[in-house]
Amino acid sequence: METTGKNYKYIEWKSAEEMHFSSNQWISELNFIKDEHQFFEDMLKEYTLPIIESHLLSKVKDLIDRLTKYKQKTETLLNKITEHRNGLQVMVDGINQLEEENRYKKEHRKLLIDVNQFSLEYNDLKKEIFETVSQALKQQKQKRLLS
Amino acid sequence: MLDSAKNKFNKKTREKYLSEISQWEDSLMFISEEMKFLGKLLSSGIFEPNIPNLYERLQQYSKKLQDSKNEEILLEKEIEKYKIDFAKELEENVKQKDSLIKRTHIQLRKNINAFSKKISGLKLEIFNYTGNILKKSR
Repeated sequence: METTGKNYKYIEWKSAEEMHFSSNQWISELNFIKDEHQFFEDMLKEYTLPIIESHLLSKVKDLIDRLTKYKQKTETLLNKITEHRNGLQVMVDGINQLEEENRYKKEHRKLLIDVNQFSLEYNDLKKEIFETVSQALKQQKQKRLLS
Repeated sequence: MLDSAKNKFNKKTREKYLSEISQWEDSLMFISEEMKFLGKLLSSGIFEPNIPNLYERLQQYSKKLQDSKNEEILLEKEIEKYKIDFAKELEENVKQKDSLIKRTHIQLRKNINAFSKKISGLKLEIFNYTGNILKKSR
């Protein structure tokens, strides 16, 4: 994702163009995540034999449950960002609406925080998937070598 | 007044740049982990046998991952060099708006965005191909 949550301060002086760019970038990244979810889910569900053999089944079930929850979260966040992006008009219509413009910036800042939080949590989940599958692959390889 | 406005701009830009550099580093580090995982996956034998050109396709993706890894290492080096130049510029208190630092930063941002896009494309290719040929549990 575009940011990692260390510093949100610079949002205060982001231009309308930059906010539009960020919104588009978030949308594209979240759409990518949807494809990625599908792949991970298929991988965890389809390739179960080595997982059963490696006694990681309960861990994998937990990962699949969490992936399913993230699918819903991704959709919700996507809808919010799309709505936000479509409301950019208020920033570029040339009419001086300070209150509305501040509300828009505040919303953008809130979305930035949400996207960062989502991204951090999702990356943690991905790391767990990598570790679990790597562990199953390693055990399977050892088994193959010993047989 | 003008000087103080200029300093303020520089301070804000500096904070923004520093924040971005840190994001780039985190992002590259994560991409590196992902590539490592995908590399393992490709060489793990978890795919259905008897798929035409399976070996060649997996080799092709492994090669692309390796090339991307090399590219990522280069970007990491560029960031390291840039960080040194950035610190030097701060020390020397250079306040030219269109400084070399600014140009380098914008160029690096472009390169990193292009790299991230390329990696996403490669991952998608790998997902689409391997997702359909994962060995089914029987």
